[in-house]
Amino acid sequence: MNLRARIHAIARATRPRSEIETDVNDEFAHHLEQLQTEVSRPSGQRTTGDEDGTVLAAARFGDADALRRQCVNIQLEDRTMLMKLNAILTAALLLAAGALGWIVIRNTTEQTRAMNTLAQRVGASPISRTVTLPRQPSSQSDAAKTGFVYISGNVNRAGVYGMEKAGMTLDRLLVAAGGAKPDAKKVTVKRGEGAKQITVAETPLAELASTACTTVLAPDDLVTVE
Amino acid sequence: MPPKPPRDILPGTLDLLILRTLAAAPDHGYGIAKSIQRTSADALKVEEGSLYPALHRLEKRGLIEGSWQKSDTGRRVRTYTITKDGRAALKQEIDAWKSVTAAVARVLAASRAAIERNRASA
Repeated sequence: MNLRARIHAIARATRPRSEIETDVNDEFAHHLEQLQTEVSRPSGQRTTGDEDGTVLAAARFGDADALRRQCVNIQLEDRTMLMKLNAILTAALLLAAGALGWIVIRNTTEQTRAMNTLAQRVGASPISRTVTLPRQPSSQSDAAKTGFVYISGNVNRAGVYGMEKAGMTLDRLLVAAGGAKPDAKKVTVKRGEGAKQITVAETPLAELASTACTTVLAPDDLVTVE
Repeated sequence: MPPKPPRDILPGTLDLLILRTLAAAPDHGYGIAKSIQRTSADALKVEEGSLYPALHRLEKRGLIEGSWQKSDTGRRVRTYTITKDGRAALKQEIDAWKSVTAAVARVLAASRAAIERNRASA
């Protein structure tokens, strides 16, 4: 079957069933009318017996209901195929949407957990809703593998940042955070929590800007700009 | 001698006969059936139970195309026309039919010759 015929067949099949049945009924009605005319001719012109035209025509036509169903089903074959295709596509779409939703929820949960950790460390109330990070790392999966660092104080975009896979230096974090504010003087990096917390770097900003930065951050480092 | 009753169409030949009839002129279902019966000198009779499913399948395959017209009595009439693909299919069907009938004829001729040889030897 060529494409044009295929499109025509599908277009016919997508019509309402009642419309298809009406067409088949009309077609059969015309045939029966012609048969009745034929068998009702004067006896000398008849091509069949002498029975009443309507009865004889119906008898010759056979089981009209079964024939009607058969013809309607031929028209609807493409619709059945389309319905199956539709069901398959819908199921695939739902699966894809479900998978996407699961990925989004998982990432959001990780981000919320990280923000709550930060909030606890800086003494604020834990957040209970989704937050938008000031800047996302280029790859969420990389961030998930290497953890987060936290920056607060006199920077333009304080917040939580995903660690780069290859390691993140202090100056790169400052750039990611939009840079320090004009009155900022120094930057401190603290590692660990509670009594075990240590200061791993305390660098004047002027020095950080003029020399190569060698301070490599570790996951969960807390950076404060004052 | 009374006329022989019309035979039913041989299986597999109905599509060929419908396409051949419509190649001459567009027609409706009843007209196609009567045309086949008339052209075959009442030797072939198309049953309605076979005709309409065949017409609908041919239309679905794009070999014929149906359109609605109005009869003199105002009734809707479904008239079929052979398509370009239908004409190509008709040519193939005719070639296939000629090939089959020629093969059958050869078998019948060979069988007749064998019978005559058997008679002669007996």
